[in-house]
Amino acid sequence: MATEIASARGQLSPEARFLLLALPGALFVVAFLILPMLSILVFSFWRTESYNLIPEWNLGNYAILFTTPTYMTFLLRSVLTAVAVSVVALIYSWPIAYFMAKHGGRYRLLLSLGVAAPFFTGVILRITGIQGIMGPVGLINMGLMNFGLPPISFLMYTPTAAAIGIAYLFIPFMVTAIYLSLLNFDFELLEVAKINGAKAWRAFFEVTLPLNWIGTIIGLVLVFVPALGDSITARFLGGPNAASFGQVLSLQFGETGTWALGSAMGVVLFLVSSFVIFLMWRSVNLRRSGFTGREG
Amino acid sequence: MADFVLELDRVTKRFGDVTAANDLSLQVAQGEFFALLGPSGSGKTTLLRIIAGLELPDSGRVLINGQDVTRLPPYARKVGMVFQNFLLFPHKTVAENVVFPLRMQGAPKERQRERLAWALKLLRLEGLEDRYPNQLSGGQQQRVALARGLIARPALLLLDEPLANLDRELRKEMEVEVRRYQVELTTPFIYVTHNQEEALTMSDRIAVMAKGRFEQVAPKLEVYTHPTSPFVAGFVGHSNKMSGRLTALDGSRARLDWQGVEIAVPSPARAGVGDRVDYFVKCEHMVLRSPNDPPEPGMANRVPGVLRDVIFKGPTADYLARLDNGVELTVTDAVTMPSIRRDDPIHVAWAPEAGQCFAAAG
Repeated sequence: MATEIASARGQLSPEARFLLLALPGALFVVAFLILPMLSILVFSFWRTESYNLIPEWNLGNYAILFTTPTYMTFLLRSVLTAVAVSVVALIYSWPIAYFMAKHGGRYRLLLSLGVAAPFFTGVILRITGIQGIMGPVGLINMGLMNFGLPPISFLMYTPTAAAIGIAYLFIPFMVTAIYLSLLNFDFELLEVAKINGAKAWRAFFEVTLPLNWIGTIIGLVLVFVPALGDSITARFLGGPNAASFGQVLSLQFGETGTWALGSAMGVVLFLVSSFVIFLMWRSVNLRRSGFTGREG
Repeated sequence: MADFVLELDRVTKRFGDVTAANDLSLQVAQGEFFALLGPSGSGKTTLLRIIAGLELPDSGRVLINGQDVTRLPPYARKVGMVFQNFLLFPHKTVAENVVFPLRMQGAPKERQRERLAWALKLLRLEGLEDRYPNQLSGGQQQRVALARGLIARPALLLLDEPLANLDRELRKEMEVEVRRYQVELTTPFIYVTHNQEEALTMSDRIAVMAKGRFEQVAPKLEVYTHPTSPFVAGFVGHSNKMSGRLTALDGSRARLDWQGVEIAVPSPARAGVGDRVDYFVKCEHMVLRSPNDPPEPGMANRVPGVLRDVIFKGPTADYLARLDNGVELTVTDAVTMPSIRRDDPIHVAWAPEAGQCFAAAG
């Protein structure tokens, strides 16, 4: 009787409510993550002929990728760039996030908004802006030449320039991840460390970093993964010797029209990213990160 | 030179308009259990943080074992500190937390093991070495914090309301234990608390603080029985405060017009006839008498009234007496006064010298 009355009033059982609440998230994941990934996976085992996908199962695309040295060069270059960018972003983001959490006070929200400010414009525009600083006719090199100094050549259309561009694009993510972690960090623990004989740096590595390691790892993933797949920055800032895996990948879906090969490259990119995320997650010990919730 | 483990020499610290430490000087010797007692905002925690090196005084010096450490960072001072909210490192085990100060000093592994075993034994933490702080009870966490504070043999141990977060039973237990460690080790403890019972239970000497000043620095018994300022008289113990004007002065005795009742008080310093004074008498220094009881020679003050209520406290009871002048007094006495009931007429009696009389401020 009771349930009938309840449903008569339009109330749902707890199970139904749970499902209803879980639905939007599940739909999103299926529609925008699993289905596209699956189609890419399927395409990677097909082949393309004059801009048409032909559903004939084969391993030809992977054979090309793993036997053609240039593809491996692109991949290696992208991995190295992503590693370098992650390290640079890590070192650069920590002080920013630390400052915001420790001294932000009532301006914290404003500072967070400041970190997000670059997203007010499009990515192409921002990269172009970087070009305006580092390029041959950019602020830095023009300034140097004005004083009769030689331009800094590694800033102009080189892999380094591309890496700087990528770091610029993704540092806000890292800052945000570390900042959110630091919001829950008890800065008093640093006083404890200092009273007990730790100098500032020692206290950082003994207390601050381990207790914010999860946030740091999330930041690293948020930088590494897009850096690995970058195509735009390499195209605009990298010059002829900086062609990235992602850049070549995007060509397959455009100019060359070899969708199947492009899909195979996407699968490789996905696997490399997953492997790196796996390695990073291995470094996380919940207890050692001060995770005090229930053990899983 | 190094007769005292800790010396404060005219330490002053201001935060904006607030003077948290106002020209404070103090000496603490080896083996002393010293309590800084005061209400919140009295500056006691600031003073502790200055000793620890977490705050820099605006002026004055801090000396530890004769060495001027005023400008030394906390890690160079060799003091231990225990905090109210424990502040254990959540990502380190009990053993790692305790041994942390020795690791920071770069002590040899062998010595670290030795001292760890010593500290765990002293604080009865054996068997908990591999637990994480969130797997411990509040009392265990506090003992880990104490072990961490003591393991490196600090010159002195600073304790900032270390028992405030424990429940009453545990606090009583820990009061005795903390005192035992201190006696065993002879390391001076500087113990900040707003809880007078804690200060009275554990310490040798007490500094009562208010508004950044020491109101009184003395052995605990003296602070309790002979407060030297109205603040101390009102803050330590439970007292009845009687305010009025002096009507007569005669050597060591004076007479006070307390809301229409004439009582005898010890002559206050710096007050003459007609001046306003505050007279404090501890509740347990007053007694209840039946109106028929004969006068007693020592109890020169005897005021009639009725018993309004009895608050049972266990070993003692608080008797609330409404006097004929309309004022209420609290008398703490043994529970064994069955003959007196609520609304019975009674007399409240006490010796004038049982209390202290001060010229009223302002």
